[in-house]
Amino acid sequence: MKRIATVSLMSDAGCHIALANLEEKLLELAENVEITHCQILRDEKKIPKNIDVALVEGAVRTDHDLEILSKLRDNSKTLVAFGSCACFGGVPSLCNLTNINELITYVYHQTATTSSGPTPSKNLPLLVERVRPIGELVRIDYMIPGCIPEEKEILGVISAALEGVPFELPRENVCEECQKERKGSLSKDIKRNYENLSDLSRCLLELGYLCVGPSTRAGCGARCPSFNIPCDGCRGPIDARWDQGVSMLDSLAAVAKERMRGFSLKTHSAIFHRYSFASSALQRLISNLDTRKEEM
Amino acid sequence: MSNANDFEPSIVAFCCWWCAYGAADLAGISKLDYPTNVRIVRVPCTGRVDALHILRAFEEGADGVIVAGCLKDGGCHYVDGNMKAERRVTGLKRSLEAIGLGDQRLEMYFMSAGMPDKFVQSVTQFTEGIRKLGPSPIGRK
Repeated sequence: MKRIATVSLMSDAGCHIALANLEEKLLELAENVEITHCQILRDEKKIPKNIDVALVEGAVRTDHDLEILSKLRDNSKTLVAFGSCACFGGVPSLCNLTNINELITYVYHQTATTSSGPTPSKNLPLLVERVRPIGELVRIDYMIPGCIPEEKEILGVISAALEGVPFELPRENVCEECQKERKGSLSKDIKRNYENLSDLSRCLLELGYLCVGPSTRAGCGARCPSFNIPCDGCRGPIDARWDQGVSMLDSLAAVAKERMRGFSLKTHSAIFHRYSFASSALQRLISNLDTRKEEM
Repeated sequence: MSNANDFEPSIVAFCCWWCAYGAADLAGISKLDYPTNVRIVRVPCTGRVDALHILRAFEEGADGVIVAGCLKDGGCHYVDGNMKAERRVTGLKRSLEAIGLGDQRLEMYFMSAGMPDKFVQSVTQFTEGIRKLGPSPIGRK
């Protein structure tokens, strides 16, 4: 019987919820495999040995995450990056735009709900210098992008990983699946998501909403745009060599006159790189700059 | 690290086929002098230059990047490619400033194929500017 393990690094356990949400299909799966490590099913602290398929949720934020990840890689035959945090860094990687000390000060002293006190330091894992997707640190065999991942892809990747055959993710963008009508004329100004939607049938980007569909991998059936919510790019770039946010900025800058004025790096990264900042070209430049500063 | 006096910047220039590359060609034929630090990459149109191409050049260690296209207001062979490129460059300069690289390491110039003097003057001026700024903090690979 094949052995499956799931772990969660820095994440909100949403991908495990997606796994639990498989319902009866999870029971069918559990008949044929042994689930050796899974925080939502059994209380187990140690990483077991001889794992066939390991699902890793979340990005690497602390040295504890790093240790779990390397141990899991050593103990498993196949490793799957489960969800956008594991694949591209996810929403938490946006904190790479901030200095780590500022981050700690903000979290422990400055948020509205924090009561003042010393910064906790005892018995805690240390933070690594920046949030990294797991693919930067260990070899990954399969990817399940999405926040949260699609049911068909979770099942597809798990069964492909058990059999050891490749699994192809869609190579189109979200616009290919989107039913909205495109007329080729663009609104001059940018609208925020809460602003009034005038035409329900038109492409949201053309109406001025910042929809990241054009640079995001398809496979979700354009779920958000079909409910009149702009795509926020949770499934990441179509190709790992691409940069989701920069391509978006690029195309918008080319078509919309003066549209992007007043957009700071933090604003556009939070919109266009929301799920993939840690694997973007800007992140590579920033980390190169940082290492050079340390050397000097 | 090299001395500031013998620092030779490496500069990547994306030149469009129809104008800036023509100007560079003519500058060569006319035997005009311009800094040898400039590496020209010929592109069909500056509208083809992707923000990622520019970021990639910096990542690989370029000290400065020039995007040179046709004259504004109808000079572009492909109608408005140069204007698209200008908006991209403006947007990207802001990002480069924000990440700490500074906005002076990227510049856009406009010229026609018959303006070798403009080409020589632009690249010389830019190279001198970069020489003053010093090596790119990203460094070379």
